[in-house]
Amino acid sequence: MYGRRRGKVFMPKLSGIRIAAGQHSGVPCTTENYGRRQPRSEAFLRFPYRWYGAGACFLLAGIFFICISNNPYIKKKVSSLRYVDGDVFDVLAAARDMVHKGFVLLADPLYGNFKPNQQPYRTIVLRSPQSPGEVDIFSLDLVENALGIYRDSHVTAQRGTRGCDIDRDFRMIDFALIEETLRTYSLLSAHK
Amino acid sequence: MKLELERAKVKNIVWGETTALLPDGTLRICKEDLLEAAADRVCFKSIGAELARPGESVRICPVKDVIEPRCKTEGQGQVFPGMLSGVETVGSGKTFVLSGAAVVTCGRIVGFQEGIIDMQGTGADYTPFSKTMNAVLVIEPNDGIEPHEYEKACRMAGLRAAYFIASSVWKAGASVSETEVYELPSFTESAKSFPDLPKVVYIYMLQTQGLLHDTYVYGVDAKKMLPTFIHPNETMDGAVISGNCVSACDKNSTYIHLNNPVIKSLYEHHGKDLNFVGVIITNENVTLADKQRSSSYTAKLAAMLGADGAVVSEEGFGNPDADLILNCRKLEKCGIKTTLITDEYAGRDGASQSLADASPLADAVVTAGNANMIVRLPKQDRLIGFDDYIDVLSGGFDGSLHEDGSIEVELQAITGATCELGFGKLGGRTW
Repeated sequence: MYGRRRGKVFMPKLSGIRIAAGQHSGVPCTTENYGRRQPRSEAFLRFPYRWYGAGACFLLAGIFFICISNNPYIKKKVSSLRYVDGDVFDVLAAARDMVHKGFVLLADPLYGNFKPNQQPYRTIVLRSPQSPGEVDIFSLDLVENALGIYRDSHVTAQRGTRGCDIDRDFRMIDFALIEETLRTYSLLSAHK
Repeated sequence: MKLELERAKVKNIVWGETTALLPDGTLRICKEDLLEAAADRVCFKSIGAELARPGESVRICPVKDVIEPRCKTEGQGQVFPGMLSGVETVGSGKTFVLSGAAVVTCGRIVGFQEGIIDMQGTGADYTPFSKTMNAVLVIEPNDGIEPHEYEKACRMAGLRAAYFIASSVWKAGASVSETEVYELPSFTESAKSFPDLPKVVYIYMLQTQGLLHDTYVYGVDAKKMLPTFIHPNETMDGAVISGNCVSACDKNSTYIHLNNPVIKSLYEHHGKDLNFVGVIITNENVTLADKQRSSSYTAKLAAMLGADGAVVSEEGFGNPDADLILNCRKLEKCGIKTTLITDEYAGRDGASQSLADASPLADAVVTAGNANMIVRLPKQDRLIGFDDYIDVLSGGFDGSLHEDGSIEVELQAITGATCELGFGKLGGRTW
């Protein structure tokens, strides 16, 4: 279930293990409890994985990265994914909520020169909080600006409303533009 | 580094038996030879060529790239280094230019399309390429070709075609109508020559986000580089190549990189009211760490030059706005005054925030126009390319294509309409 322990450095297995903040103390993981500072030796070293939505997160020395996307193509490519079954605004809103919880953006949410009326897919990559409760203002600025663009847009593209080949191409190019970031943070699945 | 651009003016374009520039300025191209030069039998199912002249009722869509025919006649290296030829440093010697002519590549890379050029009518006012004599390559991919490979093949086909035309015309003997000389001494000499003039550096931002959003410098993918110095003459020999066709209005085609108006203007002012100390090229990556790294490095390079001011031109929208503002902030904090050149996505009424990012330090900004403005383009008699996905164009939307053949689009769909280097015929003035 857990990886082999080597002294104080925990070597986790790459599998989804449900734990929650404070689960070791019997406190459920809720929005209110999330971000409460845990003793490092207990929280991260003994319980390195957390479930967020439908995905598991990859842990590296106390820092982990997550991916939020509404792009089904990403499901095949990324092992750590929180899939959003909605439009781009829903993805950005989910990312904003994570930023409010202290997560930090690793890529610009407005990557690609596509406009709201054109590209129906978006993928956001974030890093876990270093100081729970502390909000990264740069990330917040970026995601709120992105939401503003979509809010002000006259037309927003919807998934599945174009022909198959166009929709496929939008999914593919969404991945192509975020691929370098996914690779940098080791979020690409090795076997998919 | 001294470069002489030997320009021959093209006033018409026709097909013919051989490729040459006639005394009256007519560019005659052998179609078979052109297609042979551009062909790629692995990637292309078909490649055709058509001509489009200013004033004709012609629409070209979707446009991938536009390239000016050039070839080096003296000096080190050859045009488009790292792409068509070796990787020798270019920017010196002599380069032959067919002014007024352009090679346009057109074809589907992905299901949605980018870029309209109308040769007459309302749309013609918004694109500089309605004024050029265009040889248009229309390309279709082989089935199963991977999009990255096909994009590269289209890019290379355009460069080969442009080089073929220029070199064939040169070999056939062409009279040069004007010669422009560009010479910028070393920074040390410039500083001694004009000690009282403010030192101005040009920060040349390049789109570098991925497939259909890339730029290449000496054949190197610019997203993988750190910001670096480049001599302005190198851009005139095609050291910077566009692999970027999204979105049409504010991507810099290869033609525009070859004829960068910011560089031209800085040369004109050099030694008069400013000391043009050089060009720094930088990228616009997606990853935020890359943005921070590149903007910090750019500011450092500018400070190392002792720049008093910087002109910063953006390429693109949204993600690059963050790079633009990061560059601005960090340059200003080094004591370097900035002027930014960008375009706007201010909504159809022009009332929304123009950029996705902002800063009080960005207090000197030149706009190339609002890309969200709606224009109705009248039907054209002839279409070169494909219009079946025109409502998915950046700026297009469902219902864009009307039954009478006219298209209602945002300016962002028109190639070069809000070029952030200022390459165009439209301007604004306030009283």
